[in-house]
Amino acid sequence: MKESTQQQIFETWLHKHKALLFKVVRAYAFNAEDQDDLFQEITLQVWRSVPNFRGDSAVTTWLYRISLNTAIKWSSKEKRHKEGRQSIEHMTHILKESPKPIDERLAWLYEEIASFSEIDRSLTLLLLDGFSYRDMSQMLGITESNVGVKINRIKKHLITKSKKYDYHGV
Amino acid sequence: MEFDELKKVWDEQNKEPLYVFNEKALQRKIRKKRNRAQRGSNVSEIGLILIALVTGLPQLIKHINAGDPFYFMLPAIALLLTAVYVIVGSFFRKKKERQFYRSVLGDLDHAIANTQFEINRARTFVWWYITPVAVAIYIKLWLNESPWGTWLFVTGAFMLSFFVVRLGLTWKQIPKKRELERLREKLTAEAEETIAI
Repeated sequence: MKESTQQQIFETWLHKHKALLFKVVRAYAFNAEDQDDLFQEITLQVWRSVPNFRGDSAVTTWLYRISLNTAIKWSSKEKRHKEGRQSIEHMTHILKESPKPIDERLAWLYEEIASFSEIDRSLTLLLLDGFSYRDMSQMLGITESNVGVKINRIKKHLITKSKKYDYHGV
Repeated sequence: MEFDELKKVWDEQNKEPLYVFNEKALQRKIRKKRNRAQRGSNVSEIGLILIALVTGLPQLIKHINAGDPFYFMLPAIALLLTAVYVIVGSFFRKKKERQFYRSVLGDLDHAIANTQFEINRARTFVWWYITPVAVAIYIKLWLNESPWGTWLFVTGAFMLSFFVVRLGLTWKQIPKKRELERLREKLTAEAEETIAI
């Protein structure tokens, strides 16, 4: 594949599916520096993956797989940003929070997702974006029944927690 | 909230993305990261290949020109073989790096296998790299009747390189492999444990 074609496809994917990438970034990185770093890492892997995309799955499935793979491995690395260790170059942020304030309930939902393990975070994102158990099973490489058990547990947890959230009227 | 309501809240961000990003700066950084990653993975291998070639080739040529018997050339040949080993290993590693797996589990398995390869290579470094280089250099020192200080310096250098490799193994590769295995266990574990509510 020519690099210009690869670049063109990458740019189209980035524009069309940026919300998907942002969800993964938000679920796995919790401060501006880390979000910026993870976003760069994910976009780099997406760029690299373009020539391997054969079209036998939806682009969203492909992008979720690449970005979740990257995020899970990224979050397992010990290096996280520490004050005073950033280069000047790194301080130019690529990613900025949207000027429109985030819905409180959505912020709460992300806090809950952040409390899950790396793997459960992936499943929650896929669940909320309407992927089937089969899709999830193929994307993660685990059995559908295992996906089912994990999803039931996650759903139960989120619903119970959201009731407490409603009750306290936060 | 019921799950459907949670999903509605979730779907809001498809209309109003959470972030905005600087596209030109992103493209620039991606390009830089790509180049840096390529350079980073090559530096240590190029270093090993160069040392083996620079030490092995002149010796081999010298022995051939002098018409020395074959066993004189063995250390130099061993050195050149280590260079071939590094080149072949590098080729297969790069080929594997370009692969994308169908699942997160497949990708984790691949990452674990790669890390294991690095660990094995570092563990056997003393046999496939330090020993041939050491034999070649010690023979040269012996033939030149070098002073004991040189022997000591060379031995120190070999010991240092051995400890540096071991340090990388203990501090970087082994913890990395453990972390990947921990993720794999989490992914494949049947979900019997409960999330603390």
